[in-house]
Amino acid sequence: MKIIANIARFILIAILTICIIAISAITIVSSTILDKNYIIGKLEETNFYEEVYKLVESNFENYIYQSGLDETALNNICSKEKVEQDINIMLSNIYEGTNKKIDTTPIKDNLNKNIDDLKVKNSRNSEAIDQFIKHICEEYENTLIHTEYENKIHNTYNKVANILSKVRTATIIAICIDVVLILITSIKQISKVVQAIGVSLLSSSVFEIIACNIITSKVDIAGIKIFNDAFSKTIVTIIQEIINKVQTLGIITLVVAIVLIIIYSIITAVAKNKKDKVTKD
Amino acid sequence: MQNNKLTQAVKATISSIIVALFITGALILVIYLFFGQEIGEIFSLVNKVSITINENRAQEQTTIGETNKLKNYPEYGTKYATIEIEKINASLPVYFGDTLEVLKKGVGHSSGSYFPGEGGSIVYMGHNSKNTFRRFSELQIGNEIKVTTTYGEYTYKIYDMKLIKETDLDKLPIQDEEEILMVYTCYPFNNIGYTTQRYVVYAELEK
Repeated sequence: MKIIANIARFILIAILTICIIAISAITIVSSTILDKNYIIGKLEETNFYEEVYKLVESNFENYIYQSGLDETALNNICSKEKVEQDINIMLSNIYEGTNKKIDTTPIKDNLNKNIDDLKVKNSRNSEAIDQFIKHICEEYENTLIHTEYENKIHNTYNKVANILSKVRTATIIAICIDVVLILITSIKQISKVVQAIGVSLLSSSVFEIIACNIITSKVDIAGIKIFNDAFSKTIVTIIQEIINKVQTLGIITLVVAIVLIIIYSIITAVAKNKKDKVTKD
Repeated sequence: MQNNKLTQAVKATISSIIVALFITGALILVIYLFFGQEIGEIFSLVNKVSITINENRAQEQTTIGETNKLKNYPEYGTKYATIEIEKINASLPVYFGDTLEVLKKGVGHSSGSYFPGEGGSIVYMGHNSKNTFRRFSELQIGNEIKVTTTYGEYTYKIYDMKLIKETDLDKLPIQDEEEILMVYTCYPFNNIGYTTQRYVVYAELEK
């Protein structure tokens, strides 16, 4: 009977460990990549808007050299504020499903005005100039990584957020039930509840620390390159921060777990000594 | 009595830690058995979009061997030479590579061609912009092109000029029998917009 009770307790502790890991992961994901404000904060922290603005200007220059137009044609056709505004439109499309489009008309108008000032447009080259303006506007959207898939991403985001919310509720219920069952199996020695929670926390913390170490040793996070340097820098910062958060959580949980286990051990030792003393007497 | 208490406490602590580590180990094993392949694929996918950053690695000096083959080729995207064309007052940096980023900075060296001093075809390209090769039309047969690399100085004499289509790759032949420098830019030189023609200058090694 005692063996069955111990096996049941072991299974309950294992389930509690899985639930703690799941709730930690869901909390971290929800408060980071699924949180629009967190992402905006990271974009500001990594100078994303500034970097993208520099990239936009640099990519425009590639076209101007090929076009044969004077470099002054690009003067003030786009501003940092415009870039910031458009990136925020994309974020709203992804996180709120606003379905707004980036307006390249101001860039087109400014470019047309600058080219008119250069007085180079004639009937022979007007088509080429129009093509050049079209390329510049497309280049702007491409550099901002503005795609038609933003709304599809929003739908996926909604699905993931809903699933995570349900999983979180289910996990909390599972934790409650699990703790009650541990309580029932430990009714004769209530300090074993402290041990069960301590062991679960210790298992989950060790798991989190090991997982972070495996990820950092197997993946060259700092070298990740996606789309462009500005985007890569932000992605790397976010991934590194998530790993740091998991590691910090793991260490805090480890400390709490060890304290709980020590408390249980002291209670057990004192109780056993009292029991031995009573038996001797 | 106190020792007995301590022993009991230590025993209880160690047994709890062993149980915890056993659960962690079992969990890792289960994840590895059921999702190991998927996790491995994710790691490999992330590593594919990851480039190793080793800022401390110094580029070894490029030199030319006795058999006219370079030792330690320049890194792609780095500047390794300067091209000077006195006739059009051009002195431009030459980068190994032909990306838009490279061409923005100066003259690009086609990665499929030979390097100066190797005895084969060398293909250089540059924009027809004001700062690069807009004055290419002023070049004449007999004009000199000087290329100063990190491993030596080479002077070439122009012997031909041709107007080719952008698809005429056979007009830029890669061979290793004779050292020929081919420099091209977009044509017409003052054109606005995308051009499909290229103006090529052919020069042979003088010294």
